[in-house]
Amino acid sequence: MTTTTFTKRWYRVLALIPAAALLAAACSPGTGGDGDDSLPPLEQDDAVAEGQHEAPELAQMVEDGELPPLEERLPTDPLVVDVVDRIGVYGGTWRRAESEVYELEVTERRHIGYERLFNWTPEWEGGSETTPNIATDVEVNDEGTEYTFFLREGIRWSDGEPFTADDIVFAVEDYYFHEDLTADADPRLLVSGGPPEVEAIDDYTVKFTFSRPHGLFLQSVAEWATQKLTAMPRHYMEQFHADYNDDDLDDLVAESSLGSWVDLFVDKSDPMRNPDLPVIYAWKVTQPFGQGTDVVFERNPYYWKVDPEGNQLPYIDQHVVQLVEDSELIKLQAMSGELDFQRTVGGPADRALVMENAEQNDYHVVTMQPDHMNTMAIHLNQTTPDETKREIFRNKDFRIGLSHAINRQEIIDLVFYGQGEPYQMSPSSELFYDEELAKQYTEYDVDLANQYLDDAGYEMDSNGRRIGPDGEPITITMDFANDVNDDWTDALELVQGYWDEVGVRMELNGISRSLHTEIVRENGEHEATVWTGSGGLVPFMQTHWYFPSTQAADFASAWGEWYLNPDNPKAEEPPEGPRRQMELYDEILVTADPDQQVELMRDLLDILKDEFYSIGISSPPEGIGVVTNKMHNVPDQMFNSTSWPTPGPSNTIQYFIEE
Amino acid sequence: MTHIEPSSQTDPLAETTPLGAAPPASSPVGSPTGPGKGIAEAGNAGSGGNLYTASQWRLMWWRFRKHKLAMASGIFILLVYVLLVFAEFIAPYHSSDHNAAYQHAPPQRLHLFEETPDGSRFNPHVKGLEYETDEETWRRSFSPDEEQVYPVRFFVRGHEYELFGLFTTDIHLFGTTDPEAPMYLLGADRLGRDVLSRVIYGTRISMSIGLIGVVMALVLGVILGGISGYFGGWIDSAIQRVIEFLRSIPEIPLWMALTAALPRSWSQVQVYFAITVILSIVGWTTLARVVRGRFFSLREEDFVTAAVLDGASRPRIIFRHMLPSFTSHIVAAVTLAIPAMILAETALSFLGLGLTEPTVSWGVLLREAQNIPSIAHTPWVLIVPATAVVSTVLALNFLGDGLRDAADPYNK
Amino acid sequence: MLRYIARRVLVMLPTLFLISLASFFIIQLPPGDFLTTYAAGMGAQDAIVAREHLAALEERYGLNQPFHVQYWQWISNIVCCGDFGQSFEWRRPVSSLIWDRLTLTMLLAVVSTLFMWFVAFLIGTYTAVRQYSIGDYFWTFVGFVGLAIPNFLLALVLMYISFRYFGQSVGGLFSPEYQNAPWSIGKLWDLFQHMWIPVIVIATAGAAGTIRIMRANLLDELHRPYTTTARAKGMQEWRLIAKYPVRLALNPFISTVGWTLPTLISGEIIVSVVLDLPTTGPLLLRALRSQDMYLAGSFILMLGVLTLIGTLLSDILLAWLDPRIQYDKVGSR
Repeated sequence: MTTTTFTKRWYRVLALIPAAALLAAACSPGTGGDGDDSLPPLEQDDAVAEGQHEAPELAQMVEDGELPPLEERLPTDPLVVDVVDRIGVYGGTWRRAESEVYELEVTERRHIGYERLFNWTPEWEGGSETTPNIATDVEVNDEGTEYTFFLREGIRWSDGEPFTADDIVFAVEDYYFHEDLTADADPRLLVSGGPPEVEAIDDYTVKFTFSRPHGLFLQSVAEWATQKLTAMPRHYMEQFHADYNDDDLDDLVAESSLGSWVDLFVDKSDPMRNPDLPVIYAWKVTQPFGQGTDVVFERNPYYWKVDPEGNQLPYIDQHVVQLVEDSELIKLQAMSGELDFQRTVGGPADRALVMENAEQNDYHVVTMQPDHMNTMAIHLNQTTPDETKREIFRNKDFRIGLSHAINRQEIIDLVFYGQGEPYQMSPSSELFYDEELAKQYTEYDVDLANQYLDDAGYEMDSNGRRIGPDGEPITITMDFANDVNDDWTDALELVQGYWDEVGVRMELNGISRSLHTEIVRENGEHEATVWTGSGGLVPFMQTHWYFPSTQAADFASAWGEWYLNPDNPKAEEPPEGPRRQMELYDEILVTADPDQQVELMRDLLDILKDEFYSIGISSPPEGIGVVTNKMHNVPDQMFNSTSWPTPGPSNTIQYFIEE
Repeated sequence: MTHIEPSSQTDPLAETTPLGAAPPASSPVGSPTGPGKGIAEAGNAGSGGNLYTASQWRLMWWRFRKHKLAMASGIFILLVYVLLVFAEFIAPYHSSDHNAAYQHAPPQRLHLFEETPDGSRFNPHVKGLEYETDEETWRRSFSPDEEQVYPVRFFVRGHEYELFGLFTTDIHLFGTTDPEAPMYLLGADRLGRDVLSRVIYGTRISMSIGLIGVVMALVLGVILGGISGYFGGWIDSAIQRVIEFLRSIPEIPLWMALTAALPRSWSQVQVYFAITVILSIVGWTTLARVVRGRFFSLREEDFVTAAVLDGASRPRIIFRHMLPSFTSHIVAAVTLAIPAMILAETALSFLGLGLTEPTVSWGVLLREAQNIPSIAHTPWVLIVPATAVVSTVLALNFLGDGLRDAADPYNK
Repeated sequence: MLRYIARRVLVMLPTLFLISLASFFIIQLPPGDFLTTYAAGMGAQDAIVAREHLAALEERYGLNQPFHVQYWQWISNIVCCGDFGQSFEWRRPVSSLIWDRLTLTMLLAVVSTLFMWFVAFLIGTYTAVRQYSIGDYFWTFVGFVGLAIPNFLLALVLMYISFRYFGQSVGGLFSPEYQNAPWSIGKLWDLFQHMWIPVIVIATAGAAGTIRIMRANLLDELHRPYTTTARAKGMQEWRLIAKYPVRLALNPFISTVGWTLPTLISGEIIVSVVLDLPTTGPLLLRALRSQDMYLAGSFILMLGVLTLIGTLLSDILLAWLDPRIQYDKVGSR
């Protein structure tokens, strides 16, 4: 079942493949935001001393003989990164704060180390385009089964060792597909008809061969889950690998007080926790996570990118992330101008306060466009354990009736500050936008709602309650995570009122995020739940709101399980509609032609329109982030996304600090 | 005092028994220095009552009356319980009545006199509200609409409700004569709900959770503490170990585990009862210690010895002779335990345990307001429930203090 | 006395065993385990963790073992080698995690307890001496207001005030520039500048109870014959009060020192969370929330043990300070 294990994240390439097209687009990973043309270029002279294209501390180290000169550290052909606004100056500390450990942990992927063979472009147009990064070029055969990457020559790990094709082979063979490590590595995106064969043709050429077409491989390597593909320094990690170290690995394990060599390997390969690990990132950790409340990263003298004037990046010396205990504190710190760039600060309710303090405390606000398609979608679990509830939830008229019963405009006005419009679960990107899919059943009409509910066969009794097939009044228990999104409780309380009007009672059961995971995502025991809608911009990537593709399809968990693995005891075979969607998606996976993939996806979405699994509320309002006025080159607007790991692809390396 | 520490070393009840294993050190019951002056004072307070035949309750009442602050607090607490009982009638709106037009509306001023061309006349009213929304910050700013005058009267008609499940009515204690008109005397929250009404409805949960929880803790505490104190020996030891064990487990982990283990299918009402039980599981140990301490000291008293010599049975001695002689103490102890429960409920809500929205309790209201924008922009959503909690807890403490002073009529 | 202590220690042993069992049980009581939290964290950013990955982690952390096996593994390591295990979330040994935060936790606990006693001592003495005066009512009222305001509320409001009107850097115990700096005079000064909010919040909460005890005890003493005698002899009132009754009334303070033992390492959890103090309290709460088993369990165990020891210490101190208790049950002098 290889196809199903790697289906979850897929990327759609519009201008995909011919490699030549990508080649042409190469070398200049465009600019984000609008450049301020009024600034005279003479600033540059202040920025960097004549003839010196590196940070002063590094220049000093070179002088003292502690570091090879810049030319020897940089690749022969370093990647030139466009600046958003102007050429920067060296120095400064970029401060951030996070209140959740999981947010802190992804600092590597998001802030300091978004370094792939190919990266997403800063603009992320339609969520499709990638740009050369570690690789300068790629050749793909016509079937989409062979990918040959040409690596930039002279990239070095932070300890000065060269980065070569061998490191990638090591990552694939000895990490992603090593029998003891593969579960940790999560190789879903690297699979097509089984693991690929990887071959280092020479030091700077690496070839992937798949047994079935993997037309979206270029997008996969820019994706969240493939971070480690370019983060395994073979020369360092071999000593912690059982296949390479027979001598003293046991001693190393014993010394570390960890349980096994796998633990040790995982621990040592963690760039947030191991300061000794060589990286190719702009900054490397000096005070690791777990010691004190801060994590500190310092500039990597071997970083391999330059600005248009040939100055080595990054501009900023140090990146400090503080783990705070309460998210209110992040707001206060941001409002005091203590956080140089914080990607999100609070929700819509905090917006006014954050904006009003900007001038006084010397910061400004940047906007974040969510890649979600909904503020809150209500999922009635069609495979809930209770047979009666199942019957009710599978009744499409019932779902339509409930949808019409919701006063979306009032929810938008009250909970989302008038931002957004009534919206169902429907892709928002231009390519897949379908007015009917987006707007069907969003009209607030109690009479119509009652009519649908009557048609569904659930008559109202004398108390105004609708009676289910078991003769009992219908009550839906809503298990929702109340620590993910502040707005849900309010919005649900309003929905509860609307549904009361049409005779359907909803019990609100606010639970913690982990309990929600346990009940809903792991076991599918819920009757109803809510979530936002990921995959709004790029339907290929997160499909579980479009059809039951994983257990995270909260509207029919057991069908999602079935698609992943029909033998799972929790799995249930879905009916005709969803099954057809699954077939279509399987077809997309092995289709190399991009136009045909779009056609297939549209067919899949047509079935979604007909099935109407989930009840959406509204399109999401923009979020805000905070940038101090001494921090420059941060785009005024960017996507807030997981697959485009905000703010990584906006090139955090060219941000700079100037008082 | 704090309610989150693993061991509440500054327990208000602990003062009479600062030492777990020994009788009260500072409680001079039967102390030879006490009676004379105490009786003289009580006699004066009793203004002519016959001191030597007065029952203990009467003595207590005389003495309690002297304590002005405690008296005032008692009256305040009574009023809060009246709110609890008649919440639907007194609150102008239902706790969940929302209105998109008045989101975050600030408290309106209640005008007593209306300025008319013919001069001012008595007409209690509120002015209408207008708002503008800032395009960029999305913040609303309200201003009174001087043109619109909505008279405010007693016994107006509003939404329908059922009182005590007996009869349905739509009469409210006060409100605007026009049910559609806005009246947010203490402001509106983020969904345009009346903060005043929500606080009134909140008394239901918050004031009863304390009372029921304390009653449960009391039953447990009195029975076990009594047994422990009266019998002593290995029974006492065993019960002391249980208390020691329960007190050794930090409260927060205990709360978290117990609330997380509640069945998911339980309704909010069931969860509410479960939480009172959880609070009293933690709370009974304190009361048990007080009771035990009193038993220890009373056991040595002459009248108990007399009863024993008289051949009275043990239960009779406990319930007829000993218990009555310190019920007053227990009443005081209970009064002091209620505020602890109320605060514990707010702490639980803060941690996101137990009661959550849409249930309305003071803890839930405080949690809703526990954020920076509320403090900065809409302080009323914080100040109103906070005032309710603080004043009630204060009043209960003063009441408890007064009761305790009065409970020892012979003590100076 | 020694026999008494020995007996007490002996009966503590079964309680200790029960506490260790309960500590471990409590963190397993909520459904799910640390991996659920991990998956939920990933889920919150819409990254779905593969089933295989979770299964591998479960195996690795031994979470698929039955309760008694896990318990035995944990407790035997503690008893034999003092090894409290590894934290899943921080991937560091539990003991070093707690140790890192212990200095500041203890400092804060000591400073705020001393401050609280100081305030309570002043107010308690004043209100007892001037019983039923306006001042008595006023100060009692002030003390009780501190008790009545929920801690977390006071903390947040003070923090906002400090942001709004003092422009002080918010939360924590250090300014950013000192956060990772080595100890110096500047850092110490910075620490004291930040400490006033937590100290006030923690102290106000505890003061009311202590004021009450102080006042009640002092009132007892003030009406004893020796005081009257001393007064009759023409001793100066304040000197007299300071000389005997206050000293005696202080006994309970000293004797309850033992009870503050657990707070030395627990840190005021809620206050610390709101104020973002780098103390052990938030560490515990985070561990509980994420079901970081060994960290939370070991922490609860340590607190439990300290509570037991603290109570014992208090009892011993009290018995030692106040011999009446041991030998003379009706407290006359």
